Amino acid sequence: MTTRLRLMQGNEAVAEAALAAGARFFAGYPITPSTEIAEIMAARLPAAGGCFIQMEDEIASLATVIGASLAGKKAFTATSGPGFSLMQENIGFAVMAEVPCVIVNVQRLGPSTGIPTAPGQGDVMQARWGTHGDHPMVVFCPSSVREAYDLTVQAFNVAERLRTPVVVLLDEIVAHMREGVELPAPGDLEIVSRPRPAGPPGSCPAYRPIENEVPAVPNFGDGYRFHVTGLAHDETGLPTNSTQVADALVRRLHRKVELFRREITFTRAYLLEDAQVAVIAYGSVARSARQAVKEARAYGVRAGLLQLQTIWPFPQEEIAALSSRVKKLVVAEMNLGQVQAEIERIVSGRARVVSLTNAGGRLFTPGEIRQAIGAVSRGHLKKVVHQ
Amino acid sequence: MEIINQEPVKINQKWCKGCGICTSFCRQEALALNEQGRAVLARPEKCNRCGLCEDLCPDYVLTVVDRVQHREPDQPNGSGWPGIVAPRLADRQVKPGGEGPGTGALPKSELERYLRREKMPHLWCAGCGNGLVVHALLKAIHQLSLDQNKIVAVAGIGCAGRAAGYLDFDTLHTTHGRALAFATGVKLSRPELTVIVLMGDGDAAAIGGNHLIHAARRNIDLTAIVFNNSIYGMTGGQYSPLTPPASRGTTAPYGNIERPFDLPALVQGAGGTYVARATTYHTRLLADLIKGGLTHRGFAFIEAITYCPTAFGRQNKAGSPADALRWQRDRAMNIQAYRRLAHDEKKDRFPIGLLYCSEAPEYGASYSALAAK
Ligand SMILES: Cc1ncc(C[n+]2csc(CCOP(=O)(O)OP(=O)(O)O)c2C)c(N)n1
Ligand code: SF4
Ligand code: SF4
Repeated sequence: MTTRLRLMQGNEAVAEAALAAGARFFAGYPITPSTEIAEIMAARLPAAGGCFIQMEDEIASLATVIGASLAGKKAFTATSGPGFSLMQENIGFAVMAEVPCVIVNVQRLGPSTGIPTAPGQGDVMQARWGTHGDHPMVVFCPSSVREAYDLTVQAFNVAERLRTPVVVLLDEIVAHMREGVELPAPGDLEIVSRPRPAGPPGSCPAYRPIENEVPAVPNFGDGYRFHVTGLAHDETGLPTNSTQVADALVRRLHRKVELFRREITFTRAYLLEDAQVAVIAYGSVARSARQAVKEARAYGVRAGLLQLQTIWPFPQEEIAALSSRVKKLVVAEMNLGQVQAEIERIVSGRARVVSLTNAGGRLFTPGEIRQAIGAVSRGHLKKVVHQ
Repeated sequence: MEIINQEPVKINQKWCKGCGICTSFCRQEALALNEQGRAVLARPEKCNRCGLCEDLCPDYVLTVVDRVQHREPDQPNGSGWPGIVAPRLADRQVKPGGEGPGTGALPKSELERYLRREKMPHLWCAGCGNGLVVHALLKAIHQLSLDQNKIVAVAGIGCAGRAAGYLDFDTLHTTHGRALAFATGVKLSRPELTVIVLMGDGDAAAIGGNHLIHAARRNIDLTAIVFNNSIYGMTGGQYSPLTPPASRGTTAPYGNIERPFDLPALVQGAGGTYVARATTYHTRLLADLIKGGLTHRGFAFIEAITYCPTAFGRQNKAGSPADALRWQRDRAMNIQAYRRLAHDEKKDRFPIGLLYCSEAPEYGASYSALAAK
């Protein structure tokens, strides 16, 4: 009997998931700690009938991915902080021109070159707001190898369904650690492809929304002869200077994600039913947090964990509901409080929010988080803890 | 009815911007501008149907009925375009002046097939040469009978980049400087498509310079056309990497002190296998060279020397659009003739024609071969 159990890295899981989700195009530029994804795609895509290309930089990488997607391929790229910074302009293009694509950002310690081999979670806000202008973003954040697989498949599905770029935000630990995982059989996965035009060329403007505010934009080469631009445009795709048309477009881009919010907001609750203190964490930190919660319970503290798998759109309903039940929240993250500030905004005083921060590229130990849980439950800890 | 049917020249006045090119070039003085500044055929009896006005109008306003054929026939062997065109162009002795306007117009009715008519007239200024580059491109596409559904035009940002919006193909207006990278993705995912890349000089050589040399190095099968107007047009006249020394830009108020690129040399050095240059005056050569580029298997680069009367012309007192076309006519020289010039005779001239052509593995073909292993 063959088993699908395999020992693999987070980066490997991302690559496998991309292939399983139908990705047949990868363009990228080497950067630690994401490079394994490019290496695997370079090895696997030719035989899979796809195409790999190493571009001259990350700006070109995402541009090439967008071009490939417009010609009908499921396409993605993978990078880390410095490269993610270079991609920002074209991420905005993909939002505006509604081009499905996936961008994997394996976070390392920043700013700038930082510590390339150290983990970080400092790109949470960049992933949300890195490109200019009002725009929606969908960002997933796995904390295990299996989650890296599942959320990458989701990323492609959401990108295709909503015709929007989706970011998979790993951190170096999740990307490089190895776990034994059993991958779903290919037939068991739900794979989504972009909506295709129902009628022949000329029957419907390329950018007219068809269902749930998403247009069925044709692929290049299929005879529809349409225009794609990052300029504000009308339903035909051709540019406009009308402020009303531009306003309606930007609002529709948001609405299509908003309409789908429930279906793409993933969180995992651990021992929250009776919790008096809740930890909120994501990525590799959620792993320490889970252990910390377990240990705190052994000490008699009723602790629980809310793990965020979707960071954007922000899981505000889940957090609002949590804060109405649990009055003490500990937010642990490998940055100086990027998610904590968002939580503070949603909780707006209904619960105490204590922030556990770390900007040195070091993973929190379960002990550190457990101590914070203990201190908070005894009322000793009021605000920020800098590790 | 917007077309004024005034034999022997049909005039689509709605698109006329009154640039004065046609009236300036009409040797018979048959054309004039009316009070609204639009072209009219003031003396129809004088028109000898040479067709020069039709060829040089950047706005596709004029159609000369039954124009006389003169100079060389448009297609070298008279029977369609041979499969591999580039070496033939290289062999062909193009007589200086023989590649000018005068033949091979694309009749308006045919040209309009390739335009999104509802977007016309285009947004370019009166006398802007961009319309002439687009005309040459459409002529080349028409003469090659390419399938309109299998062409993707990818453009950068700038005045030149706006060309894509007028073309009735699949069109992609990208981010500033990145058109070649977007085009690379399109081409690699659907190699059967003809992918044409339209860029300004700042677009291609400044912000997009890295992509230019790497596309050339890969020898990927794209046809890249740079509209070189020596300036940043869209943003109002800042100097570009192609601005001649001492010319003014709004960011070079005392004259440009930077050295410009020799773009064809750059592309050739980077590995491009088809490198050509023409001007907007040499409309037929430009179309021929684009045609050669479209049939070339590999990275084809065509520099189209064009004039921006607004952002370059005004601050450099470079004259009317018609003056600029005459400047192009007088300064440009066929490459074979240019090579024979002595060093100091080359000073005020620049070469046009197929400057370089070679064969090398094409990226997509190499990738397919690898995938087939
Ligand atoms: C990243 C970025 N930087 C700057 C600009 C502003 N910008 C728009 S067009 C342009 C220059 C256009 O000059 P060129 O490429 O020579 O084309 P032309 O307008 O002359 O045809 C610039 C700098 C931009 N759109 N994007
Ligand atoms: S060249 Fe064309 S646009 Fe210019 S004046 Fe003549 S008809 Fe009008
Ligand atoms: S500014 Fe220059 S390049 Fe731009 S449309 Fe006007 S003339 Fe043409």
